[in-house]
Amino acid sequence: MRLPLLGLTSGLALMLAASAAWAQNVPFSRIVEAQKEPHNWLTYSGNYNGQRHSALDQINVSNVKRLKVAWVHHTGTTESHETTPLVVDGVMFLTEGPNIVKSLDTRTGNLLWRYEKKIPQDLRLCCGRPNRGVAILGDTIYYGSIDAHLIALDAKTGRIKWDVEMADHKLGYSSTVAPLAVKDKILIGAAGGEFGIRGFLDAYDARTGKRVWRFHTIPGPGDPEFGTWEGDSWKTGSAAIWTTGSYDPATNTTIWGTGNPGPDWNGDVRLGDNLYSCSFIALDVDTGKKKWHFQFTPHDTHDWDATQVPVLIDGTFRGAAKKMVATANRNAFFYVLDRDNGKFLAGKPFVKQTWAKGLDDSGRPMVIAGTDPTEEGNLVWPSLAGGTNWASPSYSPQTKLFYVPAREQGAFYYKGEAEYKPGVIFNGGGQRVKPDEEPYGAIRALEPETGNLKWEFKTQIPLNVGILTTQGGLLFSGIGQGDFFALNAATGELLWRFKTNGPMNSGPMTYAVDGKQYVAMPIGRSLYVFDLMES
Amino acid sequence: MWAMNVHRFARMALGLLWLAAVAAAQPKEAVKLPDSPEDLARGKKLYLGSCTYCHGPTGDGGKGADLSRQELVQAKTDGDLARIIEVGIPGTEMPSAWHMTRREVTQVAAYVRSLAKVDVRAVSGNVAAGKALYAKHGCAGCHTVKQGGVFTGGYMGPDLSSIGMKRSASHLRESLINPPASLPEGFVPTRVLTVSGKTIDGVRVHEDTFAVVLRDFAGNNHSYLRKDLKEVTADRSRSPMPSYQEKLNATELDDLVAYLVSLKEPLQ
Repeated sequence: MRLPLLGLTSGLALMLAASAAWAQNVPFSRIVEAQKEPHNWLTYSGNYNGQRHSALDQINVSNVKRLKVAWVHHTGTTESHETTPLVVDGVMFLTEGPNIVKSLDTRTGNLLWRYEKKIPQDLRLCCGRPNRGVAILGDTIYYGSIDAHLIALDAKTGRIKWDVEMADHKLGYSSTVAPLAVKDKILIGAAGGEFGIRGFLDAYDARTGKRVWRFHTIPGPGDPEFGTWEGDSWKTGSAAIWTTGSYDPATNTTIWGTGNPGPDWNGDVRLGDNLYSCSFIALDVDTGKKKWHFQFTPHDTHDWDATQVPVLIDGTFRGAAKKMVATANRNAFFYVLDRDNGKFLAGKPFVKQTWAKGLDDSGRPMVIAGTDPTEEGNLVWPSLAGGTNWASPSYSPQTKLFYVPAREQGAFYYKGEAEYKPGVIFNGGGQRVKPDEEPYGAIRALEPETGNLKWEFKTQIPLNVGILTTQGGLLFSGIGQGDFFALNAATGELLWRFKTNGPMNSGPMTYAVDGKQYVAMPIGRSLYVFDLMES
Repeated sequence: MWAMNVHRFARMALGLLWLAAVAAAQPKEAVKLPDSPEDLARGKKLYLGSCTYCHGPTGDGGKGADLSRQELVQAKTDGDLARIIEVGIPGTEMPSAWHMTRREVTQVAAYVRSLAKVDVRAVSGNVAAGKALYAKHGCAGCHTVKQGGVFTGGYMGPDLSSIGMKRSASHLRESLINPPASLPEGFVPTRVLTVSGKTIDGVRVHEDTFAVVLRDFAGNNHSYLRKDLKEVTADRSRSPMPSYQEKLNATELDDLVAYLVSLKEPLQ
C-alpha cells in the first residue's frame, strides 16, 4: 500500500474514521486479515505469520533520509525495555518492566491510561524483569505479568477485567512474553527455564480467563514421546516459553519455540534428547493437541533455546509451491521446515559454529564429540547468547529475503553441579565469552530456500535488536550501543541512522495515523517515534 | 534463556541499602569457613553450578560483582559473605541459595575467598626502593596513584591506587614481564589510519559501527567518524606498556612488585 505524504488511501480513510472515536474493537477476523490494515499493528509480530513486515511504504528508500523524531515517551522503567507496542486505530498499547501497561495517543504520545500490577518481592528470575508486550482481542488487552499471571484489561480505560495465575512464581515460573490472541483464546506460556520448571503453553478463554487447555513442553507418562529424559529429570526439565508464536489460519495451527532443557549446562543429569526443549511445537489451537515438533538441538548443553519467532513463508522450494516455517536458531543454524508436517527441508550455519559437523538429512545436528561444557571450560562457538537471540527476525515478501540479527562470538562453557530444589536457580554451570577476541555482529539477509547469504551489514558488536521490514523497501533495526538505522532491504546499504546513545533491547514497529507513517522503537528508558520531515 | 540486564547498578544500590538494614538489625555472626581440600572442592563444584554465569569461573565478575578481590565491598567478613550467599540480595539479581545446607554455604564462601588473587604471603621486595623505581622508570606517565590525598599520574594505563587489593604479587610480576598476558579491557592498543593518510596510535576509548574514540599517548582524545578512516586496528597481542624483564634486575623487580602490592587505597 503506497501512501502519498499527507494523503489518504481507502485504508487510511477507515483508520481516520475509527481514530475519531477510538473504538478499539479488534475481533479475530481483523487480526487474521491484519495485512488489510497496515496502519495498525494488531499482534506482536504485526501479523500472525511472524514476518514483522509492514505494507506501509510512505517512508521508503527515496525519502528515509528525512526521518526525524516525532515524539518521545519517557517511561521511567529501570528494566530492559523489550516491548513491541500494538497500535489500533490511533491508540497504542505497550508494556514496561517490571509491571506496567500503558495506552498512548499515537500522534502525540499523550498518556490515555496506565495499569500497574502489584508484584511479589520473592520472584525467582534469571534475567531481569522485562516484558515484551500485550495482545488485543475485542475490546480487551491481555498482559502476562512477571509473576506468571495472565491479566485482562479494558482497552479504553485500563481497568482490570480478570486476573488468573498461570503457575506459582515461588517455583520459578514467570512470564515475559506477549500473549497471542487467536479465535476466542489467549495463548501464553511460562518463562523460568533456569529454575527447573516444567514448561507449558496455555490457552485461556478470552472472555472469562478460564484455562481451556495446557500443552506441557515436556511430555509426561502416557505420551508416546515420553522417555527422552533419564529418570525423573523430565519433571524439572524447563523448556520455557520466552517469545510469541505464530499462527497459520489455513490449518488452525499455532507454532511456538521452546527454551533450553534444565539444568542448562550440565546434561549428565538429564540424559536423552530432552523433548520438546529447543524445539518448535505445532499445536491445534482448538484442542492444544500436538501436530508436530522439530527439535533443533537435541540434548542441548549450551542454553541454545529455540526462542525465535517462527516465520511462516508461503513460497517455492526447489521449484514447487511450499508452505514453510523458517528460523535462524540460537545454535547457529538457519532452518526451513515444511509447515504442514515439521519435516526438515534445508539448513546451514549462518554464523560461525564449532559444535556440529552439519545437519543430517532429517535436520538433526551431527554433534562433534567433546563440545559439551567442562569443569575447566570448553571453548565453543557460538556463545551462550547464540548465533542470534530472541530479537525478532523479519521476512520481506518484497525482496523474498529472511533477515536475522546475527552474533559472532565464542565462549568457554563450564559445567557445575546441579541439584534441583524448588524455586532455586538450576543451571549447572555457566559461560565466559572468549576474552581475547573482538566479537561482532551483522544484519544478515538470507535466501530462505537455501540459507545462502545475500548480503550483510556488519556491526561493531553482536546484535540483539529485532528487525522490521517494510514495503517501502526498508529494513529498520538497531545496535545495542545506541544506533537506530534503516537499510535498503534489497542491498543492505545504510540509508539513515539516528544516534541515541541508549541501549536497545527490543525491535521496531510501524503504523500510520492521520495519513502519516510512523516508526516506533523502545530506546533506553523511552519510546522513540519517528516520522518524515516535511519536504 | 539467559539475557543480559543492563540496570544492575541501580539494584546494587538497593542491595547495599538492604545490607545496611540487615547489618543494623542482626548481630554479627562469627563464621568459621572450612579449609580442607575436600570442602574447597565441593565449594568449587557448587560455585561452578550456580555462581559462574554472573561472577565468572574465576570470580573476576561480569554480570555480577568481582569476587577475586581480597576485600569484597559487600562482604567484608566471612559472616557477611555466607549470609549473602544464603539469603541473596533482595532487589538485585543475586538470588538466595537457601537450598544449600549451612555447610554448603560455608563451602561456597570458602571457595569464593580462595578466588582472591591477592597473594597474602609476604613479598620480599623493598617498598621504598620500589617506589623510587616507579618514579625512575616513568610509570606515573601512564598510571595514577593516590599520594598525599591526591591522585597523581597519567591516564594511559589503569589507575593503580588500589592494585594491591585487586591483584596478587605473582600476577603483578607477570604483568611487568609480559604485559599483553593480562591486557585490561579499556586499554586495548589501537591504531587508526585516516583517509588523508595520518596514523594515530593510542588506546581505544570507544568503538562502534560508526565512530571511534582513541586516546593517544599524550593523553589526548581523538574522535573519528568511520567514514573518515581507512583502517582501525585493535591489537590485543601487544600492550602499550613495555616489558620490564630486561629493564629491571631480579631485586628491582621484587622491589617494584612490593611497592605495587602496598597500594591499597580503599575501593569505591
